[in-house]
Amino acid sequence: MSSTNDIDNKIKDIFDGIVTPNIGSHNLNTQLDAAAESYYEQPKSPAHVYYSFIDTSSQESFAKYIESFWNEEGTPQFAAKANELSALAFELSKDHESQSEELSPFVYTMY
Amino acid sequence: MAHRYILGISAYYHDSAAAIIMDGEIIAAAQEERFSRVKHDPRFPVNAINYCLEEAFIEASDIDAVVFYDHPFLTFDRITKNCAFAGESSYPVFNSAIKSMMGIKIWVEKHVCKTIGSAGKLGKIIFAGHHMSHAASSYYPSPYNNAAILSLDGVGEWSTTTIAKGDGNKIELLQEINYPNSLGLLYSAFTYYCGFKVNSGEYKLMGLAPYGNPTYVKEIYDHLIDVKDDGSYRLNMEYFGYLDTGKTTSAKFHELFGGDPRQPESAITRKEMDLAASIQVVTEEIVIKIARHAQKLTGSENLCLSGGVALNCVANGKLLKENIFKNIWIQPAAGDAGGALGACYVAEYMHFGGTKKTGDNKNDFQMGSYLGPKFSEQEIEAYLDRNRYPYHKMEYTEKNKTLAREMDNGKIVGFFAGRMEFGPRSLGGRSIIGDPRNPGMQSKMNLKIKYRESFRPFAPAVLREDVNKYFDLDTDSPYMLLVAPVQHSIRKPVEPLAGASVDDMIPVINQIRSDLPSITHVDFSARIQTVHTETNKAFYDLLAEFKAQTGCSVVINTSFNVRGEPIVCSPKDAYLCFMRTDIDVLALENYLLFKEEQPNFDDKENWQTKYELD
Amino acid sequence: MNRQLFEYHPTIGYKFIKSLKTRVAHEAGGYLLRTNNWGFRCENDFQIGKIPGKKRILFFGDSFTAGDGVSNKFRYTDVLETMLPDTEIYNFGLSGSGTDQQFLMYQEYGKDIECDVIVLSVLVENIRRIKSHYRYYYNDKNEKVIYAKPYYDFKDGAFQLFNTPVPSQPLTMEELPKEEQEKVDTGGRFGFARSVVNALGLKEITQKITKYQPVPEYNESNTPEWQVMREIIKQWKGMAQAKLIVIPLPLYQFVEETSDASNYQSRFAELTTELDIPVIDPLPEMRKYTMDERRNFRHKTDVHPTAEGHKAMAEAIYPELSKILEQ
Repeated sequence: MSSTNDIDNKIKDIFDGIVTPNIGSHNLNTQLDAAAESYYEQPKSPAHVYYSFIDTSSQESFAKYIESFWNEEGTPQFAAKANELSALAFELSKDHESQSEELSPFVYTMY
Repeated sequence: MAHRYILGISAYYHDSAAAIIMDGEIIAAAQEERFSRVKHDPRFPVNAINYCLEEAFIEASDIDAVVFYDHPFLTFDRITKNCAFAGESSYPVFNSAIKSMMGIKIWVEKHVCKTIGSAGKLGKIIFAGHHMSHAASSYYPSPYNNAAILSLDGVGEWSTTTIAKGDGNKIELLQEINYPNSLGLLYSAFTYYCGFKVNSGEYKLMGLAPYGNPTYVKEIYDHLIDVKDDGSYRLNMEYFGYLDTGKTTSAKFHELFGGDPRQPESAITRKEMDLAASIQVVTEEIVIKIARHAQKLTGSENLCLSGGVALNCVANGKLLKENIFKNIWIQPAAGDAGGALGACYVAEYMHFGGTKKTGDNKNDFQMGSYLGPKFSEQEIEAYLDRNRYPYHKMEYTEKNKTLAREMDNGKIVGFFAGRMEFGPRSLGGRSIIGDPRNPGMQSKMNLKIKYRESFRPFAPAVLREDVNKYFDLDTDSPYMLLVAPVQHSIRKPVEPLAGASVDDMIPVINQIRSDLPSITHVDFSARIQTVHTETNKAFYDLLAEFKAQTGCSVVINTSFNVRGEPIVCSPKDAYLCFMRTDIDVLALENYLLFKEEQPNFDDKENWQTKYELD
Repeated sequence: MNRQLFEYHPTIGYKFIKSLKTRVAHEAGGYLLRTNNWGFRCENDFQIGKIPGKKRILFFGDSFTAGDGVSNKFRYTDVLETMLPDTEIYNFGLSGSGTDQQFLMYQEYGKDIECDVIVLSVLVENIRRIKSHYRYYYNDKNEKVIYAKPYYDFKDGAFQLFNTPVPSQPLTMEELPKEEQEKVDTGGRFGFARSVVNALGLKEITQKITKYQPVPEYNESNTPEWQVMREIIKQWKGMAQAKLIVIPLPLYQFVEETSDASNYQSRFAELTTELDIPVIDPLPEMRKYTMDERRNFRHKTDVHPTAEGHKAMAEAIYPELSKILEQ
């Protein structure tokens, strides 16, 4: 299992790989527009707003999922680190597997 | 014919929950906090899931599909793009998000398998859209066959406000407003600034509003939000911190309102009261505009509401008064917990193509929201006997007579009957009740039962057929989600207070405003629950008996907990709350316990510091 | 939240609460538990008279029979019910009970029920329980507390019942007289050493190397523990309204052959030779499975049988039981 520093280095690497190069390229709707009649938008990500599946069956399949997700979203540039992101997800998931405890199968709750 | 079971889960943000439906009908739904005893527990709802399977009494392998209420990778997409927009300084936000999204949230299937041993027959998790889960939670259990559907919350994936149309089995998403523009986050910014906890203290801000004057409305419109006639809006992000710092408000926000946020637990001043009143007015105005737009878009005479903002019952009451829609139905678990139920419906109707039951425009399919565990008399008796707590087992009618008499004598009753409620409100399943005619009751309940700020009003529960006798409302409000004024006929004249400080709420609170002072808010409003024999006979019969003895068909109904504690679930939780407070009588189904007969209570747990405040 | 499963009982110590319908969280994902109209973990509601055309078997035992770790329908008794034609099984299994408590349960609830066969399923480890006067339990705060249990013993030349009515309130070790402190059943031999070995993940290999014998109380016919168990079974036979059969249910160490079963097998065989009580030993049949299959007869850490383990037990018991039932 990796140390916190290792994990943080990997996260920084992903940040540098997918966020830093795209700084300024992605616009959030923060501009107020007095002339606009409406701020409503058409539903974003129609492939996902109803329901969908995430393939985490293997590291490879999740990397493919990440790639196709961002391609479908029209922002393939964010998939540059799909393999690394998938690997990190699998690594992080292990941190949350709690150790099984010795049970006391013959001691019952009684109150 | 084999039944189709769907398990829905909401988790990892706040108020995690689980729900289960069979062939489109709700079997059970519950929040994890009720079992874990951790308020707003965000953890994977192992106990709530276990309970849902218990109620359905099926093996995990019999579940047809497990559905998560949210799409964690779509949320990660939003956070990544948020960081690309905000720049290098947002790295801490990215670091924390990646650990949460990639380390925990995408692994729902693993957690499900570990918890119950199977991901069901489908073998993989369905990820429903966050706002689709909300929309489904309000449309499918509603009594309507078509409706405009509004979902208003802080943020779910990208969306913060969505307008959809429900028609038969289908929900079509029509328009939305996306992050970072959010009515929910705007309200939360004021919640935080006024010294309450975001995601749970919003209802306190709402309760504070009637004490204030909406003097900051202009500032809010001029600086914080641009609202179009159709209700769409954008926030001026200079005043908010969540794009890059993770904080709700920015220094500019504090500057606009004249200083730093109020420290939690410090004295509430006129400023907080006026801010609360102002953001309440703005919220109501926006909600009404959005509703008008949704009505035009859909052409429906029915409205379904969900999302955290839908818990703003004051706004709901105003919306009702506007008559934009003929009918309104609000999901009682409108927040994220309700997403678990909505997620079930997404799978049932969108994935499996199930057939929605035809509604009659009146009776919903939420079963009064009594969707949690029930405890049998055998279980209660075994618990009391094992602990040697003195009790009186009574016949049903005798119990009601006794409780009504006790309330008439100024006693406070802990009422535990039937299934526990799903959603943030106690509706007579796990309630603390008392006589609303008693002028000292509000203060006593606040200070000696709830141990909380005394400005917050209590809600009335009233027999459905008598609601109009006391309140300017003649519609069902079974989920305590509508606020309406008390009738002029029972109001009392209120003299202006001479010499009181503008910051001091206490003299204002203590003024008698109606024949039911304990439930009449400072602006003569009340948050009403209508009680129906079809959904809660035990509570209805008690109110009927109280009416028979006193002529009054209203009781105070507040949640069965102390401040910061989750509402009680089990007889043990109820007994602890009973003994830790000045509740006089505890009714566990037909078993009555009187405080003066109980043994000395040796409370080893320091519960007053255990529960975090909202 | 765990629902309270047991209620106080003055003779037996405790029993299941009536009409429960609950799901118990468990390492295998959880299991469904239903109790009937008399407060036993049985799918059949109990009634005294037999249903015309149906045979009836009463099963008594501990958690292996009650079915800890699996839903009711997966237990060996329920599997047997599906295998035996026109037969209903009444399951009196009570988790954590000893043969003494099971005998008391029979006297209190079972002796008037019309039936064809009475089965006493003795998890072989139960022999330790019958010599204990107290047992550990968790209370609702997850603290370990001690409750008294009823027990039999020879005293002044007579076989007598002690600790009844059973005290209803929990005790601490300090509250017990010194000589009684040794009579608290802690749930197994070598408690501390076992927890260390288990924590190191060395349990199975350690047991094999050390030829661990989990139940030395069966080593000789004259151990005090066997004397008490034998006497209980003898009295039970004398009281029974139908044929009494004994089934020694093996611990996993015997199934997986890390321990030698011959000691307890010899003792139970004596019941047949000396008391004319039929004994069905499922162990030989269970040992016919591969070692991998046998490992799946118990849970990952909980030693109670899995659904596969229960099925194997049922299949091992079925041939002889059906013959006896036909007689």
